[in-house]
Amino acid sequence: MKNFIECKLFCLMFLFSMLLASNSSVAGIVIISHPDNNVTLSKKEVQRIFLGKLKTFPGKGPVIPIDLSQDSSHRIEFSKDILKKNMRQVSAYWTRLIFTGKGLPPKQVDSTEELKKLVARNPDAIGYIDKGSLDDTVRVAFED
Amino acid sequence: MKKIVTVLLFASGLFTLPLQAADLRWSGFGSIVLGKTIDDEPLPGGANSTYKPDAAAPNVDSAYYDNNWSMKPDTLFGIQVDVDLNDKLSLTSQLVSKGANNYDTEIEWLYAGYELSPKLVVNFGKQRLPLYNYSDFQDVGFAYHWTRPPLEVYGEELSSYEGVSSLYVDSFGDWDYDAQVYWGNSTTDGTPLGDVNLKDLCGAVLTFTNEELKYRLSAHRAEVWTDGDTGLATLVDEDSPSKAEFYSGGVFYDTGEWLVGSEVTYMDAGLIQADTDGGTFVSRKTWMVTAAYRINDFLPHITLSKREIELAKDGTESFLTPTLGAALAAIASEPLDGAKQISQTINLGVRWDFHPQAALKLDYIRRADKSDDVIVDGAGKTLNVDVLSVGMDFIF
Repeated sequence: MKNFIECKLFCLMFLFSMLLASNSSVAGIVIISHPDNNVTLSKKEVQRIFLGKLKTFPGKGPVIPIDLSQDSSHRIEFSKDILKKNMRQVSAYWTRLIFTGKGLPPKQVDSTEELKKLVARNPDAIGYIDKGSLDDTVRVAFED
Repeated sequence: MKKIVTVLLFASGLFTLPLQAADLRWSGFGSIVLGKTIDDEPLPGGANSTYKPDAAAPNVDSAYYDNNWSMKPDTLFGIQVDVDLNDKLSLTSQLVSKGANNYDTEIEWLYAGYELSPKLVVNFGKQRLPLYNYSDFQDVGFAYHWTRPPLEVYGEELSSYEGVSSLYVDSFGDWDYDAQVYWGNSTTDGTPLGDVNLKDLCGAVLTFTNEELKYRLSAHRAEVWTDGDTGLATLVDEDSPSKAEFYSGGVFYDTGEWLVGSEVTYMDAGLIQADTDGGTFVSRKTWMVTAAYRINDFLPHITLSKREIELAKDGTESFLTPTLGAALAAIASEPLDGAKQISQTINLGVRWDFHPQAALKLDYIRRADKSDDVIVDGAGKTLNVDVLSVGMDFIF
């Protein structure tokens, strides 16, 4: 009987952790900006900025988007949720722009920490991190 | 002495300045493709039909697939350098070496771009002629699913112009759009018609995208004449150029899993003959429909395409190269009034993305010659041919 309860508890915990895990991978990403940059972006604006179609904050100065490297799970999730593209489509999209001289992909960094530091230093920069990594060096400019 | 110091300072400035101020980037692409005709058509003269996959390549043997394996017609290598001189001004140059052209290297792009505003860029220099959806990056095989775009539609011999263009990028509601207008001149030497010249070449391209959906419309016009050793010069010379018009429309739907697309073009060569008959003209209609479905790293695809060239009073089959402005009906030999040269192709292929920067491609093409009898009676069904090719595209 005790074993049965333990088993049930374990199952519940397992399910709960699954739920947390799936939650963090679906709604875990936030778009961040410098604390002094009080901009609020729409999902479409974030998409346009990271696809090089929008080069300024709406009604403001230039924006510098910062991407994570291609194999980052956050990058894959961001591309799927916000850009509505898988990584192959993202790659094809930039290949077409690069070899016509029409545009260049955003600068890439290797880690969330690095990205956060860059955004914390530059009022023009925006990037994306998981919600759990938020602290007061940056602020949220968009949350899905 | 003072002068020498000044010169030295100036020289050192010249050498160090580019390294400090300019942001310079190299990138490149290429295709290595092996192919041959599998089923060629015996022609009346004893020859067999061949296939030239790149319409813009010169008419030399290395540009054609025949019944021996060849690596030249589709193989190419390109290198691009982008330099940001400052926030607004940039330089772009692309050099491409094509097997079809015996690996001669040519400048495909060479232009200076100036950003007038975050939404508007003006470019000066040598640029690709934006006739079709895939024109701008047609040499970059990695950017699309076929080994090369369907030739029935992508059959224009002219691929670039020298001039000025502007690109405006904006959005309304959920839609993004860009508008491109350009003006310039173009010369293509050594076509079967001689050297083809285009003056006051201008056009506009409008593109609308909404995530998975893309619409593209374009219109172009030019004054065309030829010179060279073909004897055409007297019919369409610089003083009585022909007025040509070209239109295209395309719809593309790409979910990442499914890709479906279609493109339609129409050209009126509007050839006004200075000679006796007058009113000779040629038109060209083309379309293609393509579909692809992704299964993990594999992308099998199928494409149907068709081209129909209508001849007016005078024309001759052997000169039926689909050049914009096509002075092609200018040669009087056989009465071909209203005769049509028609070809249609089915392309079956698969792309395998085995690496983030490289893909393997296998394509089988079956092309059928459906031209009117008056055209094929003499020369045979020159367009009947099957072609198999296997190759690799890469970027870096």
